[in-house]
Amino acid sequence: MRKITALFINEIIKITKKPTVFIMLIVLAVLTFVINGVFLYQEIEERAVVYAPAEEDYYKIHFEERIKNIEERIENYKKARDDYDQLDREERVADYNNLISLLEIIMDNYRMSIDNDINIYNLKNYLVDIYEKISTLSIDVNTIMSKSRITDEDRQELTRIRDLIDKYRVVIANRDFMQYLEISQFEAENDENLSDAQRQNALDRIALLRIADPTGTKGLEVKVNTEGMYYSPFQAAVNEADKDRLMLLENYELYGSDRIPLTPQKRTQLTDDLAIMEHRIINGYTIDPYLASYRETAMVSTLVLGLFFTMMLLIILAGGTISQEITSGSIKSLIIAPVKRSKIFAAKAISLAAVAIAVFIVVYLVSVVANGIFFGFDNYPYIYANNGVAGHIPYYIFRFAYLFVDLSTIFAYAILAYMLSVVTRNTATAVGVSIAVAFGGNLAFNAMSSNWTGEWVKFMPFHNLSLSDKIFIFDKAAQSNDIISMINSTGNVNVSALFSFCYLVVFMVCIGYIAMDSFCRRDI
Amino acid sequence: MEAVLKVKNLSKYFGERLVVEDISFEVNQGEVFGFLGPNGAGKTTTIKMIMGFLSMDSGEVIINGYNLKKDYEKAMSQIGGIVENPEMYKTLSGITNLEMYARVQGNVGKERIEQAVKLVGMQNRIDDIVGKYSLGMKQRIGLAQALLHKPPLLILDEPTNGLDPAGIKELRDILKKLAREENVAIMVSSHLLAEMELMCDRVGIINNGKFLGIKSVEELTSNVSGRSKYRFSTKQGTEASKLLVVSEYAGFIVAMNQEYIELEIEEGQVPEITAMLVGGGISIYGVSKIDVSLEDAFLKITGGDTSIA
Repeated sequence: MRKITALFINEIIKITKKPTVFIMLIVLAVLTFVINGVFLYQEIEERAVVYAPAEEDYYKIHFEERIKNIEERIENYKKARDDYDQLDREERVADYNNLISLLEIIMDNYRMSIDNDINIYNLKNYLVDIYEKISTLSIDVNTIMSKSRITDEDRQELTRIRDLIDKYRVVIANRDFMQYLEISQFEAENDENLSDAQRQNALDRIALLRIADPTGTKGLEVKVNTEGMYYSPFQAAVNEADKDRLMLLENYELYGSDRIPLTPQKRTQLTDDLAIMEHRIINGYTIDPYLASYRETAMVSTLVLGLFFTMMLLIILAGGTISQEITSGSIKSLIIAPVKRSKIFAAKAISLAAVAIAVFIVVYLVSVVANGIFFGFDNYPYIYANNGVAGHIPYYIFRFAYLFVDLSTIFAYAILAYMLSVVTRNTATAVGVSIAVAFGGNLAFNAMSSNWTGEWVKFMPFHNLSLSDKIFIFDKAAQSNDIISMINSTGNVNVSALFSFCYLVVFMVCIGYIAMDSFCRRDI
Repeated sequence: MEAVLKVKNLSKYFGERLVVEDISFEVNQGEVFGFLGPNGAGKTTTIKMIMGFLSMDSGEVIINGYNLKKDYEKAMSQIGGIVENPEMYKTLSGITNLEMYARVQGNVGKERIEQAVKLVGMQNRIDDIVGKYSLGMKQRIGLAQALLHKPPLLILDEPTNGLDPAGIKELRDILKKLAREENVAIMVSSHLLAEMELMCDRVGIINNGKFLGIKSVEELTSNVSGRSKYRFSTKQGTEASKLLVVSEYAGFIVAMNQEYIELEIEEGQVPEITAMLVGGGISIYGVSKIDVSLEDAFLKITGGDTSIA
């Protein structure tokens, strides 16, 4: 162990004297900052459009005008009514009274809107919902009142409606979202028009909102999208969850415009999707559907670039590690030393792994710091779900883990380069063949798997080495950009994470064994 | 005297070709053992097998009691050496190279490194990168590296390559000192007989992969030194040979024909023989000295019997 440690330290000294490592890292750091800068510039441009301040008070001016207009009309109608009154045209008087009270209701509603800051042109939030309910109920009152004969039943109904309106007015005045939910729940429970599934969905939604938005403020947040429409990321997420939940409750999915029953896989997927969506809603991680996540794209892009650099660097170092020493003759001072060749081999492999991890950490830190400087450090965590139970991993830990898993794939190519370096004793061959295999192997596989879809295709060498896209299946942003997934796509063959893991281990052990055996036995 | 290095029946094939054939010899404590042979004789191959670069096809190597095959690391820790040219990490300084080697050896302190550097006279250039060293400097650093862990056996393959005459003398002195004062067993390979004479106590000779035998330097020098082959060119070979056969120089004739006569004589005898031949009416067109090949010399010493070993 002492000797391996000594050899390991020596290897690290040798590698740190190679300018390749530092040149590549500096180029990478510069690129990382440039990429983040470009993405930030794009985001600022888009933000200027997307987050243009909504003209919140415009509706008030509009309503004031309406109210004036209605007041004039009421004045006119009153005059007309008085004229008919003098003529004893009772029908016409009743008509005008009816009209006037209706207009008064409308006017009251406008006033309610102005006084309580309820923008009814806004997205439908709970205040608008109540406004609409009060409007409908007021008209119901008017309808009953305008009857020529009011029965006891009517009077009871009037009392009920007026109580309800008063309750609603209290909700509006106090911005009492909880009370609103209470009323909504009561309505859902007693609405005979709803199916069981719809009722359950409504109740679940209310339960979700109770936890996610107890004050109702999140549902009131409004943004303006690129088309000038109001929208709310929070509500969009709640609606999305509603849709998934209803599909689960009613057991259907849309196939074109047809409804077909859920397959078990689709049910599992929907359950997880719903769990994730609810997790987002509850913890405030809702995604803005209109503002593309430039921050995340920048982050993933720079990390992918970093992985690419790490991969190239590692292939170059591994591909030269033995062959260069043999070519330059410096291997002699290793062979003369009293250490078994297997220890030299192991020390070199370990030092490569250590350098890879060190480079990887530098890549990660540069990406994170650059991203943080440009966009801030408050990223949403990675949210996953298993059997309908969601959880989350803090963003920076998740990204580290994701990349670390990708690094294991890079190790596979590095071991290949190492093996070729030992066997061919030619650096150019080792590096060239490894890169060709890394990128060409998947091309060949894709070409073949497009024609052959048998199970055996997944055992073809030099692909399936990617693990991260199979472990972090809920990370859509990275998957479409990830270099490792790209050069390792499994085409239309379904491969599990466990399969890929076993494949990777077997691959590395076999290649490693060939390299070690060759290095330990052959003459130098 | 105890044998530090025991080589027994060592053989090596390169493909079908047998490059080292059944070699056996021993190197003792406190002696400088010369390993002599022309280029391509199998010297380096043998040394590489002793030092773990090449596998042995048969035979065994025992270093200070440790069998190289069975106890590789212990056996190797008894050796210090240079194989072919001393190659180091060119981008690193001499001192870094030594430190790296010392780290793997263990038990080598900073003072020991300084001591070794001083011994080979490299104090002034030790911080330069090895890429800037001349071949001679690399040889010195290589020697310092080989000596770092004070090995009981030192194996140097063509150590005088690239050294100037002063450097060769210095090296010779260092090796002699190591053998006499520190009781190190030293094995030095070379294709130059003259070098061996000055440096070694005993010399083993190898040619075409075969070990021809071992002689002490005294034996080598008493037989070889002072005598060389001289060729007397003449057009009257027959007449000349008749003259010589009856003279006191008869025993020195090595070859003769119509064109020339070859004698193995001391330099001082050349004028006498020339005078005698001219006096006998033979026209001499030229006298030239012919270098004796190592093998010839050795065959001469061993009386043509190659089975000694």
